Amino acid sequence: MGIFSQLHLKNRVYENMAADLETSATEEQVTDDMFKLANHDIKEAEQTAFSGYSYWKSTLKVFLGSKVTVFILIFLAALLLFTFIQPLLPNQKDPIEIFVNPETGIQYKNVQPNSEFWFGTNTIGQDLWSRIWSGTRTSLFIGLCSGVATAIIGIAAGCVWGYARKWDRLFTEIYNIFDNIPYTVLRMLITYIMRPSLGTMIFVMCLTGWIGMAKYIRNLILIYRDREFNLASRCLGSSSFKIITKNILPQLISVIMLETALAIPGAIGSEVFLTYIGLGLPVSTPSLGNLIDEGRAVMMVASQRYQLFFPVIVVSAITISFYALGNAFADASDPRNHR
Amino acid sequence: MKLGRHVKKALMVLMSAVLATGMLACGKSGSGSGTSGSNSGDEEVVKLVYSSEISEWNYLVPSSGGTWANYIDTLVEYDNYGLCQPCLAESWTKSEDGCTWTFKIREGVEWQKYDGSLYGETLKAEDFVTTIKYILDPSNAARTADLLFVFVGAEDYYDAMANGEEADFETVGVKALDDYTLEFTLINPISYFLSMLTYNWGYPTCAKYLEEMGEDFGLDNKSILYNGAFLCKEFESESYRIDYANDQYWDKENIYIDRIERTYNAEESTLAAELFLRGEVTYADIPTNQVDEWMADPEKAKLIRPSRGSSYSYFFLFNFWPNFPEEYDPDTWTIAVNNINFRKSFYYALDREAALTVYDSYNAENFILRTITPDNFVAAGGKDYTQLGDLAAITNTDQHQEDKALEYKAKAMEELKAEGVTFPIKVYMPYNTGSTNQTNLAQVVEQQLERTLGTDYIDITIEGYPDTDFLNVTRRAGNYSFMMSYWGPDYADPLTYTDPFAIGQKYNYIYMADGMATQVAEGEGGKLGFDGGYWTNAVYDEMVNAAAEEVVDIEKRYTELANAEAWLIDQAFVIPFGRLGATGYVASNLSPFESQYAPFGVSDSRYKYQHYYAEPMDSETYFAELEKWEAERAKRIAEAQAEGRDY
Amino acid sequence: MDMVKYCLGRLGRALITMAIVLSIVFLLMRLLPVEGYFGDRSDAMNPKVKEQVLKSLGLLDPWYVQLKNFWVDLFHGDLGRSIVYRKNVPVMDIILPKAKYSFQFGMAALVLEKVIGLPLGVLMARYKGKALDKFGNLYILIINAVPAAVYYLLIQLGGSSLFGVSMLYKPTDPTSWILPTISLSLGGIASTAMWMRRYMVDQMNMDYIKLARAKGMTSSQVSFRHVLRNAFIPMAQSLPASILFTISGSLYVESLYSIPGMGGLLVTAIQRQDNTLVQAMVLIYSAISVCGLLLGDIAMMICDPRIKLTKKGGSR
Repeated sequence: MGIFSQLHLKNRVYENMAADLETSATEEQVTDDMFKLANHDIKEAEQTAFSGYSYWKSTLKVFLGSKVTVFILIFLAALLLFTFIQPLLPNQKDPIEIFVNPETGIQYKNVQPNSEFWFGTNTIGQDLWSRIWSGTRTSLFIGLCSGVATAIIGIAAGCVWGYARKWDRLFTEIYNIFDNIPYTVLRMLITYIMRPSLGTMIFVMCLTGWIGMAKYIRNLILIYRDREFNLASRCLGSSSFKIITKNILPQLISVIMLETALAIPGAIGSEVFLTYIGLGLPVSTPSLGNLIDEGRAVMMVASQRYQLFFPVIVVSAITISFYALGNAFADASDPRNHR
Repeated sequence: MKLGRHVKKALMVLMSAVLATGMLACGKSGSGSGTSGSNSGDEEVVKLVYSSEISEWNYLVPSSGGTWANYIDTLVEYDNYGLCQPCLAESWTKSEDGCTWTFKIREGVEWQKYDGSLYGETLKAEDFVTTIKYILDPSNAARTADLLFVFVGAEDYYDAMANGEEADFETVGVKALDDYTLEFTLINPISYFLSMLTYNWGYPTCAKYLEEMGEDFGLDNKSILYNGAFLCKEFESESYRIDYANDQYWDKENIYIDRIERTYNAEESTLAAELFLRGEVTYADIPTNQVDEWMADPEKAKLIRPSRGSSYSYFFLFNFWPNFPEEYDPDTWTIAVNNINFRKSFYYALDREAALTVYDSYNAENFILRTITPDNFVAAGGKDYTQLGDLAAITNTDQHQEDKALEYKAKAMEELKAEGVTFPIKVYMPYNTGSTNQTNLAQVVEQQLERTLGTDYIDITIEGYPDTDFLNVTRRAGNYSFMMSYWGPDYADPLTYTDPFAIGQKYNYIYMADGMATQVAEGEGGKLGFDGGYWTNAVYDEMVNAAAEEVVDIEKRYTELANAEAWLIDQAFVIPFGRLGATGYVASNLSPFESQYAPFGVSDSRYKYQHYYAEPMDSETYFAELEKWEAERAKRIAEAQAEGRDY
Repeated sequence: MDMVKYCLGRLGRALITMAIVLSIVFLLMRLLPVEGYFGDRSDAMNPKVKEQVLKSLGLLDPWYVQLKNFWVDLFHGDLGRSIVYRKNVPVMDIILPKAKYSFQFGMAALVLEKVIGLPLGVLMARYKGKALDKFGNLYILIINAVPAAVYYLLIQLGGSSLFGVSMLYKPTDPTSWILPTISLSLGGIASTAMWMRRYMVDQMNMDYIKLARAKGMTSSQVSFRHVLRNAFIPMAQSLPASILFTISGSLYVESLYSIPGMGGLLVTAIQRQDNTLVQAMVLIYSAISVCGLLLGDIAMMICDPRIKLTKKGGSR
């Protein structure tokens, strides 16, 4: 609720700015005969417009300038790399395999962390260390997929919505409808109808995620759409597509990156919630969501709390990293912060 | 104005929060150790948390009636050894042919409102007729209507009403002969009829009140009438439910508990154990994953005892109507499952004890079932049912024998290879993700079977389905090759445990196995199976029917039913597994051996006859008492049978 | 007069949206399998009886007839009676008492959130980079990083044994209200503080602030007189929605503390396939969100005379 209201607030502020801008720009009509086509000479342009400034280079420079950022970046890269190479390392256990006492056939349940089971075992004797890495892999996959898909669909829809005046009304209505169906209803019903699985979970998260993203992008586009440089560009015959991709989107890179970076831990959080209400992944597919849910069940038992704390530490580390990284990149990609 | 009040309240909450925090910060927390000593004075109060709220207060409609067991009495009830005894009926007689039962209703039982005040009507025989009339009215959509089709004319009456035709309730075999005489007429004699009376259709209903309330009957605790041992005086949905002993109860000498305080908590399974330790409740199921900690601490270990297993019998089914995706190769499965050696290899390979540690690591053997009908269900001739006929040998042998399993595996592989089957055989095993224990169990069983039988032989794939709709998409659709399922008894006769395997049931469709039944065209006397075909000469059904024809000599009847069950297990159509449905351990200040004992119906939900003890029962006492109880029960049943009493 | 017309127009359009939303949810609920309506006797139940159960719920009619009946009833102000969750109880009798609990706790938490969150944000901005700021940021980070399901449980377990209060909510015992209220407000405090800090930092670079500083005002005077006052405008816009949405409660907190609020109601209603209850809740939530936005815009207009809503049609 807290984070939601804040984003909501942000949206509303932009929206009002956008609304004001819209009214001021639509009053006068610009017609073709008011302008003459200028000759476009690349060489000439090159000569006058050259500057040593490169946007991406500067962004990268600022981004990598901070030691903390670099550290987090290395940490995240290492984490990602490790989740993938972990199963290939020697002496790793199968996350699904239940370890049993060969003599009695009884499982090694709730074994405290030791040299054999580094993070201990869970209540049916599976190795927590390998489950956590396998779970991290699954959850990061869900997070990345839904984060990226949300960003792509959201940006595309937001651009059309914000830029094409004709469609604004229709899109707004569609948005209102989606926005008024409580996400819980949509998520639960779709999951019931499609059956819980990795694919369903990603689908459901995209289904509810892109709408917010599209609205956000639309509001930002409204702010920039009728700025002078875009008017000029349009007069010079640039296509809408070019204006959006070359003129407007680069302005939005910082916020888009921030939103996408936050969408990944957001997806992991959603997964924890979905697991809590019984719509998570089956336990045979370990994920951070169902590991935390399993851990919560033994939270009351002091000696078994390690089963909760290990997955929580991983989730927190991932969330903090993406959060910090997103913010750092947002700052770095803002040209005003380039020296 | 309204908002103002809310804001004020909100501010009060806030202020008290700030105040209290401040006070605590000053280090004057005082009481410290919390609310110890949950029972003050001589009051016997049971406190517990529950996580599933009553969704229906109208006891005439739902499919189970345990909720009202303490509020409304039935014609008969059970004693703590599982023998039927008079309750609202003072006595009863049975006609020669066993079809007509006449009950003498207790006089002077008052109908009361939730707060204990008298409604002004006393209990009459007519009140039981009112209930049955209500349930048999299709427009009320009562879920237990079909249980009443054992009465003469009941099914015709229901059908006629459903089709909007004229129907006369006089034709139904349920009559109040006078104010205190009730007569039931059955189509066929039923030896276990008394046990059928403890369902929700056995609760009487005051006709005057039902009419007075109309649509508002049974919306909450205040819109039903009481005549039972307890009154639900306080109730708020998903918050609390408090029962008070009824001081005007006809048998109040046998109520010892003064109050039952239930608090709703959706996280009951996580919190209950901790709440028990802090003295906030006097009863808690100890979740399996927390038991280790309790057992490791000698002080805490003293507080818990094994729970009495439920009467839900769980077993593994081999599916003879494979309807699962091609990727799991249903054709090969059909060939394999019709091979008895293949089935027997599973039967001997399954390690019940290892699998049941998922429910209870310390006394897993408590939950093991080697038969489909659990022990202590019925008895005849001084023997428990599971010790009768051919079933005795099965009950008394450990079925987990790996060498035998491998023997059968070798035989099966040889025979199946001759039929052109490629190995490993794919085994598709769905499980219910709604239950943590069942999820864990599926993983344990999968790996245990594969380990024992070898992955060159079988390849088990487990797949989770959510609780909502689980059975419909798996078992009832034939969408499995091997899975766990269960059955709970409906009445006190072993016949109840044969139901799932008969034609027409959606369990494992054994009539479709090779040579188990003949398929005939429609209209040629066959019985409709769930697959849509008509079947006749079903081997198992005929065995059961022959056994059930005996209604006088109980010992003979039970022995023959036991033989049929033994055959079913010996053929390994079904692999008995365990009595599940409860957690392994409980902490409770009540004694389980004082409560009414009945594996079916509503009686075992009653708090009547139970005492509150200062200390919770420990495991040692539990086992000692259990032994005494089993001996006493056997003795009493033998006595009743010797006297020819219905019990 | 313009204002009234504008509001009516907006509400009118919102009504159409809500009608579409309700119909979609109505039809989605009808896609769920019917087996959910039979309870635990499904295997043993006679097909005849099953048919009667469905008939009594009106589920045997074609979907368009069901939809029509629903709209006719709704038009008469009848939201219907619950069909599974609490059978036959009018849905409003279920929702209202629960909403009351959620509203009380939600309001207490909201007040706490603003009372602690705003000053914290202001102070963090003033001592940017100092110990207090770092501490505040750490708090915000932890609250956002650790899953709420986990820290709520920790607070309940640790808090109740530390302070010697009951683990569960008791209507008669005010000490048992503290922990849930605190738990509920933690997330809000973090986001309010985060937002406030950001707002302050942004505003501090504005010309009018520079002018005020140049005039000789102290930084605390500037913070509280100018910046904080300006911050109320966006806050005024979101406040009505925040207040109204407190009735939706919190699933985690209410489940843990046994508070009979709205938190888990929607989830339970869907799980149990209680169609009427789900429809009623969807209706209420969308009405709240529409009213919240409208009231927010009006509140903002009142706070800031420069803002006019009626100048154009409104972008929503």
